[in-house]
Amino acid sequence: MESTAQTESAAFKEKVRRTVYLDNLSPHVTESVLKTALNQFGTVKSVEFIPNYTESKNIPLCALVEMEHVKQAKAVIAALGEFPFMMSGMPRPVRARPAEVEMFDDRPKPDRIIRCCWLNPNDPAFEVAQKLKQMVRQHAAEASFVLKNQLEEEEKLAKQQRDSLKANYKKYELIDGIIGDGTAQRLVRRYGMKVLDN
Amino acid sequence: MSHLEEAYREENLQFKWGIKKEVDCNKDLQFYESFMYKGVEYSLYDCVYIYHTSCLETSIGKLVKVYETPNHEKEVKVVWFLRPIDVCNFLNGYEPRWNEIFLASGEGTGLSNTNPLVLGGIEEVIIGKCNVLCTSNDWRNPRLSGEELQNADYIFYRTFDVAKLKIEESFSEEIDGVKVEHFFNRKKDQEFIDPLNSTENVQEWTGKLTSPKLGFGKAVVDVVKNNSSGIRVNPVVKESERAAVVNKQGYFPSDISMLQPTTSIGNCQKEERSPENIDGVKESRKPKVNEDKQGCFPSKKTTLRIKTSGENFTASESFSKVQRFSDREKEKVIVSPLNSKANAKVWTGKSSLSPRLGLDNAVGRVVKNDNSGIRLSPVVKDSEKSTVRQGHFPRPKTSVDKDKFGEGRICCSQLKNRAKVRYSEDVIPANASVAPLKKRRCLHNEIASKEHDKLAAQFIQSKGTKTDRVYWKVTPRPDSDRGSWFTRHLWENRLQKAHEIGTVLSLENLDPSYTSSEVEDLVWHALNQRVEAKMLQRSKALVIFKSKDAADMAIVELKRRCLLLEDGRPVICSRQTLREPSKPASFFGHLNLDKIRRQKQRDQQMVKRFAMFTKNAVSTSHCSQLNTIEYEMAMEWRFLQGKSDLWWKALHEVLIQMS
Repeated sequence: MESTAQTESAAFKEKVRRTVYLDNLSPHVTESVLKTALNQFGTVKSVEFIPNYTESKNIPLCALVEMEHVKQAKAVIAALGEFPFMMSGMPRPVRARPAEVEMFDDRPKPDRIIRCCWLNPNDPAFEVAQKLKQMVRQHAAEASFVLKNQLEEEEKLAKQQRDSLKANYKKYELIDGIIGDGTAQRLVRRYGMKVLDN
Repeated sequence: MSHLEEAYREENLQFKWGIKKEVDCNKDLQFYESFMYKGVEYSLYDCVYIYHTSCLETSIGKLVKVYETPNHEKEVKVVWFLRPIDVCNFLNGYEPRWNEIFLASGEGTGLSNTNPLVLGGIEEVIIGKCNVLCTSNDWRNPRLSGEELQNADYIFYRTFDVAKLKIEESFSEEIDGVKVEHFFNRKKDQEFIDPLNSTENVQEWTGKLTSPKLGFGKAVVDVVKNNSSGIRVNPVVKESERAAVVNKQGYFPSDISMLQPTTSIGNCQKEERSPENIDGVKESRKPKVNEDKQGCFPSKKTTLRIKTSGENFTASESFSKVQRFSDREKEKVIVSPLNSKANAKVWTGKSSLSPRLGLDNAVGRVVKNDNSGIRLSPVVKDSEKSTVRQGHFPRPKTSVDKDKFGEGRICCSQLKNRAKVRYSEDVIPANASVAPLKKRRCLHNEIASKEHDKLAAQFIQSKGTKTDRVYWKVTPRPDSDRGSWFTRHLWENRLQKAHEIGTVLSLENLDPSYTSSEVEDLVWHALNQRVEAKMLQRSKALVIFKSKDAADMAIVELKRRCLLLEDGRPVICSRQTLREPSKPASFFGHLNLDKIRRQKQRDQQMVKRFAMFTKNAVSTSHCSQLNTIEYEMAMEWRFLQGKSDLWWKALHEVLIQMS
């Protein structure tokens, strides 16, 4: 019985090492998209999206992708660290990290005993506990504030990029226009410039 | 409370079938129209309170079938009424009235249940009748008088469709196979038949009293001393009471003095009446200014309790008994402040009313009382001297039922207690709609806390720990392996469902390394609740409780006390709202360049630098190449991601320092 538990936990640890945690994923990313995207690095064994039940804000999708070998997982992390990797859209790159045990929902129960107790209001430690509780709440609020700011930042960046892309696009269109209608040629002639292209 | 426990404990339930109905040949079910249960006769289509073990709030249901199976199992089928709190997620901004409930309709869970009637292992128990009236304007619904409404424990005029999860105003032809007429109010003649009601009297009586004048003019006054020691009581009024019963007709100031000697002056002089009180009294006698916020008729039912004594009984014999009112569950006691001379003087002095008027229209205390089974009964003390001014009834059919006193507990004014003698202020509102709600609430609270204490006590006992702060081991709860694959598959569905009924809580500040099943064990040991838990990231877990009450209790319990984990973390519990699954998630950072794509088709050459963008972007995944604008932008994102990593790290470091 113990040995099975042990092998189980060893197998799980191995699985964790094989797994890549991806975030900054678009909500349109599906399992098949992930599989085709990462198949270039090795065989994808399984994909598990980490659902977001509670956050009211829109945080990007995260997923755990289990590769066939530890090496492949490392390759994924290295490649995605080196180059911005686009998945189902651009230019926001996907990010990869090694997975951690706590990310797994179905992790085996560790062999340990949890202890806990009730603190009654008359206990002197009760006050302390109340303060701790308050602090945890405060932390949660702070974290949520940071998250909010981050989302705002992201939105700002996206907007800025959209604008710059639009501007760029306009420029190209302009150039396209003047070349298309012969204005460029005329200008070249007018100023006696030498144009290598064409 | 005493009632509940009693209901809970008593095994030898007195049960008797009443009128037989037809037999269902297919299933050999013997249907009945009525039955006796613990001394109360229930008939078909009565509304009852049903107590569920471990629930704080009783449920209200209508008996739609009463039958006995061939195995002699007695069962009732109940169509539920839903309290606003049950459907609070679907109210859509609609604010129910304080005593409004919703009739379940449609098809699905939550509509009806079949419950065993007399129970071995008690799961659900009928604990009493509930007066639920329908105020719908549906043509099939017999209209009610204001008084009847006022006496209702609950009203309904909307249904809640359990399938559509919507509140609806219309009533379908049948609800759970029962003609909707049965859900509406009973027709009057039907009501007369009801053997329990002793209605005949009452109906006529109330009928006569509907005129405000009559009602008040013939107010019966009852001054009772109330000893609020709260123990369950046998409120039979004892003989040693001295009472003066005064016939109101021909009641003149002079009479007062005549009468006074029979009342206890000692008591009376302690009483003072403030001018507001008088105003209150004045008001209450005028129909239009009635304080009743429900807009019912001012003609309050003057239900009376006449306490009589052997010695001093002056009125006719017909008064020697206690008048019970049409509604068996409610009693209003009108207590007049008239018993003292001083009183009378102040009164006459301060009010512009003539003494006579004042006396005629004295309305003292109107106390609403209902026996939903969870009331503390006041003790009615013996040897109390009381003045009873008996109105002259059109039909003095005041049949008395001393026994019923036991059920209808009566709040009485305590003469000696000046706080309580502030009649008009806290008395009339007691009749108004708001007060009973409060009363109910605080009673529930009381019950809740008691329940918790009980549970905690049990719990501590079961753990064998009587002292504070004893850590106990969280061992796997029994049959914890049960159906794990099943659980995972349906988790999302069940989470949604649970969210709808409000049983999802979040536990925070857990050890992040806990697994879901460890959290389940923890809750099982700490709160004695079997739950489903799911560990989320960052030391948070979602927990689905079995029922809303269990969830509420968990919140209260974790607030009142503090569950401390081994490493000193206190667990935080709060109600969790989930994000709506249907809401599409927005995502920033992916730019859509349809235009460019079109452009590309027109002119491959010019947009070659956008090639990366335009190459069927959505389905392809790729690494960016250095010479594209995409790469530049991706780098900007990288930069932002790096920054966000930094600020998260910074935040967590600060947190670690702080904690």
